Amino acid sequence: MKKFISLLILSILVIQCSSNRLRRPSGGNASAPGTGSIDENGNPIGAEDAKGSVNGSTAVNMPQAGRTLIWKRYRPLETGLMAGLGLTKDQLCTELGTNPCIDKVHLTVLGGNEPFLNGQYERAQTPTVLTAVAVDRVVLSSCGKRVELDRTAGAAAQIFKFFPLTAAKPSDDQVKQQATELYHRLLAREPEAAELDAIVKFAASSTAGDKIALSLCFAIGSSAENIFL
Amino acid sequence: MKIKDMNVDRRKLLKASGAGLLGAMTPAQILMGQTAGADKKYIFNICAFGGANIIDSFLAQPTGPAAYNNIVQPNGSAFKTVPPLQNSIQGAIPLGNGYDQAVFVQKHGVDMAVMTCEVSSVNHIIAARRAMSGDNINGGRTIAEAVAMAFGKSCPLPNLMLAGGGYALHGDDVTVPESAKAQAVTDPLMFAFATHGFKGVSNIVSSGDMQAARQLRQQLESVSRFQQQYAGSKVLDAYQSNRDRIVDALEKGDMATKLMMLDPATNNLAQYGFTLSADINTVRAKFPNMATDPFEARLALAFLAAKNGLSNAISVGPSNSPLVTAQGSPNAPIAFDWSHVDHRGAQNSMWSYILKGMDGLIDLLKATDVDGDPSKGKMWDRSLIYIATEFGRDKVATGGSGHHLNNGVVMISPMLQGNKVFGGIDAATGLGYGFDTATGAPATGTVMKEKHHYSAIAQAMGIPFENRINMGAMVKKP
Repeated sequence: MKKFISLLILSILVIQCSSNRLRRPSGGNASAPGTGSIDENGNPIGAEDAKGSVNGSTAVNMPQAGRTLIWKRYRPLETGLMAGLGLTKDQLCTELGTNPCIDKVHLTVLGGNEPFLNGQYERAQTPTVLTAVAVDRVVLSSCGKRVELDRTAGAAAQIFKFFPLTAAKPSDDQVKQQATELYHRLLAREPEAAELDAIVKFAASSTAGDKIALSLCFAIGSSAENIFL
Repeated sequence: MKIKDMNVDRRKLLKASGAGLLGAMTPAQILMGQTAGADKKYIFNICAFGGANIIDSFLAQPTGPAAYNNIVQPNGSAFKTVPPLQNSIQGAIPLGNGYDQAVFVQKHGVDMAVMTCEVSSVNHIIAARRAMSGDNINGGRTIAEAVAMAFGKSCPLPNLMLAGGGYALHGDDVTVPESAKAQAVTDPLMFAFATHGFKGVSNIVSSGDMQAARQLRQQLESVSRFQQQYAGSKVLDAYQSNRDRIVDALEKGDMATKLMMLDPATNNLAQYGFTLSADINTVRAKFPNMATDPFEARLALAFLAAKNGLSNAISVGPSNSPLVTAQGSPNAPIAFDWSHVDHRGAQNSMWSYILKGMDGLIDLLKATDVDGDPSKGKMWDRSLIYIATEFGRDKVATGGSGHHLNNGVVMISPMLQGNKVFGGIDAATGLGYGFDTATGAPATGTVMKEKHHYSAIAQAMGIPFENRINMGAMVKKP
C-alpha cells in the first residue's frame, strides 16, 4: 500500500511538471520575458504593464487588452483613414500626384516590405525612426483631400460640415462639434474635456476655417493613438 | 557623472567601445560606442548577393579546377583580373556592362586589400547576416551598427540600408540604440520624400501652420487617456521621441532637396515645391543610368546621404532583377547566384557590375570634402568599402556552381595596407588559405573566418571591442 501511495504521489508530481511545461509560451515567442525580444507586432516579449515594467509571469507573451500596444501597420492605417475620412484608396496620399505613398514610397517605414526588387524579406518589428514622417505625410494628405472635397461639396459636405471652410473664424461650439466628429471617425471615441479645451484654444489663434479643419484632422489622425492599437 | 554610477558593467563598456579608449571618453560616449574625439568616418558595405567568388576576380588562377587562360595582372599590382567575357543569359540576352576588372585595379588597387576566408554557412540569409556581424564577434553588433555608433553621432540616420536579405537584418546586440539600427529604404529615387513630413503635400498650410498643428497634436496626446494608460511603454516612447528628434533634424536640414534625384523632365517637382539636389549632375556623371538601374540609384543616394551628413554607415546591394534593354542586361538575374545556372557568366558580369559602381562611388568620395569643408580633407580619406558576400562558389570553370564555404573578400580604403593579398590560393584545388594576422605572412593550413573580416574593418577604422582579433598586418598605422 505504501508503495502504491508513493507511486501515486510521484505520478501526480510528474503530471504537474508536464502541464506546467505545456503552459509555457512556445514557438517564435518562446524567449524568456524581459530579454528584450520583440514579437511580430513590435511589442516587447514580456508585455509591459502600464508603468512600462516588464511582467515576469509565464503568461505575458500574449497581447493583453489595455496593456499591450500593437503597431497599426500600413494596411490598417490605410483602411482607417479611408473609413474615417470617407475616401477611396485612390484618393489617399500620392507623391507628386502619381506615386502611392502607402503601397510604394513609404511602404517599408509603415511596416511593409518589398521582397522582389529589394529583397526585403522581413518587416520592421517596430516603427522605425522614419515612420512618423511617413505618417505625417499620409495623414496630412488624406485630411487635405477630405477638406478639398468638402469645400467643393458645400452644404453637402460629409465630414467638415460644422463650419464653412472659408470662414474667418468658427465659433467655439462649431469647433467642438467638428473635433468631436473627427474623434468619432478617426479614434472611435468621445473626446476628453481637456482635449476639447486644447482644440478650442488652438482654433482661437487661427484665422481660417480650412486651416483649422486641416490642422484638427492632422493632429487627431496622426496622434500616437491612431498609430497603435 | 562617474562611470560606476551608470549601472553598466565592465563587459558592457568594453562592448560599447573598447578598452583602449576608455580613459579618454565620457560615459555617454562609451555607451554609444563612440571613440574619443571621433571624427566622422564612413563605411560602405557593398552587398554582393549570391556569392562573389574571389577566384573569378582578383585571385583568379591560371591553373587548377577553375583556371582562366586570359588573366591580366596590371603592372605593379598584387591582383589578377579577368577581362570581360562574351556572356549571355541563356544565349538569348547579352550579359555584362563591359567594365574591365583591370581598370578598377589600376585606379584603386593601391587602396585595395583582398583576404581569403572560409565562412561558416552556405545559407544565403544566415551567411549574409554573418558577413555583416562577423559571426557575432562583437556581441551581435553588425559592422554598420558599430560604425554608426562610433562615427555617426552627428548623422540623423547614420545606418542607411539599401540592400536586402540577410544583409539588411538588425544585429543581435540589444544595446544598439534605435537610431543606429539600419533604416531600410524602399526606393532610393523617392527617398527624399521620406525626409519631410509635409513638403509638397498641402497648399493650405504653411510651415508655421504645420508647426502649430504638431504642437496641437502634442497637447492632445499629453492629456489623452491613451497616453496615460501607456505611459512608459518603450514602443510608444520610441515612436514619439523619434518623431520629435528626426522630423526636426531632417526638415531643418532640408534633406528633401539635398537627396532629390528624380528627373524634373519626367516628374512635376516644381509643381509640388521640390527642387533637385545641387549635386545631381555630379552623381549623374558617375551613375548615368540611375533613373532605371536600382543599383546606380542606390549608390547615388548612398553618396548624397554621406555627403550631406545624413548617414555614415551605408549598405548597398544590386537588384536581383536583370535590367534588360535593347543592348542586353548589365547584371545577372538573382545577381551572383545566377552562378547556379552559368557560373562564369554570372561571376564575370556581376564583378564588372559591382566594380563599375564602386569605381564611380570612389571617384565621388575622392573628389568631395568632408562636410563641404576643405580643412577636413576628402571623404575618401575616411572611407572604407567592404564588398560583403555570403560565401564562395564551387571551384569550377564551366557550367553551374553550388555554394562553397571557401572564398575571399575585398576591402578598399586608404586606412588599409593596400595592393596586398592576405592569404593565398592553393592552385591545385582553388581553395584559399589564411595568413598570420600580425605579420601578413601566408599560412597554409589555416583559414580566416567572418570574425577576421569584421576585426580588420573595425581595426582599420579605429573601433575597439573586447574580442577584436589583432589584424595589424592589414591596417595602416595611424
